[in-house]
Amino acid sequence: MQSNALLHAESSVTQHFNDVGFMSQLREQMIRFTQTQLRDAEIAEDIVQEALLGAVKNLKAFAGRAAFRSWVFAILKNKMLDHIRKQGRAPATHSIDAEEFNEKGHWQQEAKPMPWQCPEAGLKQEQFMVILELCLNKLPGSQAQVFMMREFLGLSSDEICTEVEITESNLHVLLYRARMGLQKCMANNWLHDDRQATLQKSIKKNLTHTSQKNR
Amino acid sequence: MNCQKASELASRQYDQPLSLSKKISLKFHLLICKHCRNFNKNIEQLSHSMQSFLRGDDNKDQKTDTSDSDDSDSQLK
Ligand SMILES: [Zn+2]
Repeated sequence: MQSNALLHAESSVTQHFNDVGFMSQLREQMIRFTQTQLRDAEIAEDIVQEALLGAVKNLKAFAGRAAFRSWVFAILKNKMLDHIRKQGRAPATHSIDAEEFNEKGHWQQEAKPMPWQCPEAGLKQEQFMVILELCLNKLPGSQAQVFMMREFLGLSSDEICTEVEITESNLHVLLYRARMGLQKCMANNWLHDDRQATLQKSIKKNLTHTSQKNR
Repeated sequence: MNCQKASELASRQYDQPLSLSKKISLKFHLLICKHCRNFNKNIEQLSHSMQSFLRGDDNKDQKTDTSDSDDSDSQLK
């Protein structure tokens, strides 16, 4: 019984690893995520490699790609945390420059948040993450970094402040700016008429020039 | 409270507990302001989606408000 399960797990993993398209896409995605935290491309690749190897070593019954991906990302998350804890890094801080608001603090016309139309349209998790990634890449590095520490790595505000040596109010500003930018970017990318076409275009664009966040 | 302040608090509530008075004024503003409500919903969804991505639930049921009644897709003949 047990060996059966093991056999199944093994074949399932092998299957994932043999799917070159899936694996290279996953690897790319992992590297981009990692680079929001560690700007050093080489270290990012090392960490991703380690995480992938870790996934192979710890064979588990993966029900499908989603399970496999989440397993790999869980390992990645731990590796990134390890790395961050070893060497904290201070991001540049930003002041609140709220161009979204007028002098009275009301939303500017073009900045008014639009509702995302995901629910019954059934935008899949995976597609959401692709767009999120695109949008993360458009943020200033320090914003992307703390956002990922908070939402992806799940660190508390206190922990983040300690790790990157910023004050709490700085952190709130950075997270606020990050969320503001992301929700705007996500809305823009989802509200298109032909969503699928937009998505395909953005995936291609993203794959060709992966790292273009010099602003 | 204006929209700028409200959206700042909306963001902050995901990172630290707000004081009661801030919570109340935020709630009140959200009741009367559609834009800030959208903002709040969007950033909540951001966080929510990251979490479910990490958990590996690949389906889109964001709302679990359907209590444990039967599945709608039950195959009755
Ligand atoms: Zn408002």
